[in-house]
Amino acid sequence: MHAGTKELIDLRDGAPVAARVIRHSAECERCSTALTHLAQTQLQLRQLAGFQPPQRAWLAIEQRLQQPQPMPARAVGAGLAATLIGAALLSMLLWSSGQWRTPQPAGSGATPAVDTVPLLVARSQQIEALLRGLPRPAVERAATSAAIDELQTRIQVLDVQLSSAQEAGLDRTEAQQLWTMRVQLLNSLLSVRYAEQTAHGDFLPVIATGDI
Amino acid sequence: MSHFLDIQVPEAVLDGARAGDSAARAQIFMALSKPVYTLIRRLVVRPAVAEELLQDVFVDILRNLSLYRGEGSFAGWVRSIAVSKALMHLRSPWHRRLLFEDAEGLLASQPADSSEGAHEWHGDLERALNELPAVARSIVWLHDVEGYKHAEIAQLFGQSVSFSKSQLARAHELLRHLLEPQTGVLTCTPAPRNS
Repeated sequence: MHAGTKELIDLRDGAPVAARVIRHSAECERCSTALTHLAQTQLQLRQLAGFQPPQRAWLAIEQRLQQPQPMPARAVGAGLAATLIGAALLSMLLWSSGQWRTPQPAGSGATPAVDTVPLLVARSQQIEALLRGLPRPAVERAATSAAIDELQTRIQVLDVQLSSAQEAGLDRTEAQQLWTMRVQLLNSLLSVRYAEQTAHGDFLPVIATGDI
Repeated sequence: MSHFLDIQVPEAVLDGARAGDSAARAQIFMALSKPVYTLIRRLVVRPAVAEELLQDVFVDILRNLSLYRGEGSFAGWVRSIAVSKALMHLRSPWHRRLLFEDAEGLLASQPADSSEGAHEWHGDLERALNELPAVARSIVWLHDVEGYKHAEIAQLFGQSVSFSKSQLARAHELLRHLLEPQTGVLTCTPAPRNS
């Protein structure tokens, strides 16, 4: 039986593969050709030329940096957004200062009894699906837009932390806390988006957004 | 491998940028704008969207430099933010449809610094890469060029390692089909032995 593309990619990358795949790939012309092609394609992808950014980009960035960061004060939903962002930031602050870490009973070790990360990941995906289903209004209020941008940035910062969790040596409890914050921020984002929709008079379905 | 992680930004430049020094900020942009823009273009393809995201990435980076505490490479931190922004864009349905609007223009587009002597395969591979579905294209680029591990890609997409492996395999199958449409006729025959 021929080796699958996944197996051949593992072979190319030096990842563990079954001995029969190695043997077969050495003997089968089709599979060895496919393996060579995979290696060539990777090499050629790496050799593709880069794109030069447009010259005007830095000017635009400088202009944006000089503008004061908009404060979500006047627009509908902005007050709610500020409160939610404040709560999310407080959670992040508490987490980073260690005050939010749940004390473990003596002898229980640092690992929580129940791993809620899969639930939190699933909850994140649910909320993201809800967010994807919300249409953006044709005209967006600047303050609401800034609040949404702020929340998205915070989520991105968390995503960066989560994506480097292994390298940073985060244990399960810490990963759980990061995922909890991600769910909270996504909930906040969902609330702001709902407020935005309500302000535009759009019909919204009633969706439970309770925490896990 | 992309040269992203080889880029060094001196600590003094970062300190200057944190203090609001415009020249230091410009120096960070000069050092990282090309790899950031290239990465974004590879993921989202559409030049106008990529330019917008490039601006967003640098505005975020330069406003949040205090969040970078020197753990790991600065270029790696910047790359993580660029990837996150680009993927967030790809997840947004109100933007996603834009990807298909000017497909013909995209197929004709070439990197700005393609030299005249570039091999013919550059153009073919560019076109094939742009024809891949966004997720498959992103994963093949992140894994094969940027060196992301399947576990890291799985986390970025909120999916499993198996998802990342399947998408990578699919991307390569599609690329091969686009580059060599005749591959389907190959048969399983013994490879010639050297001995």
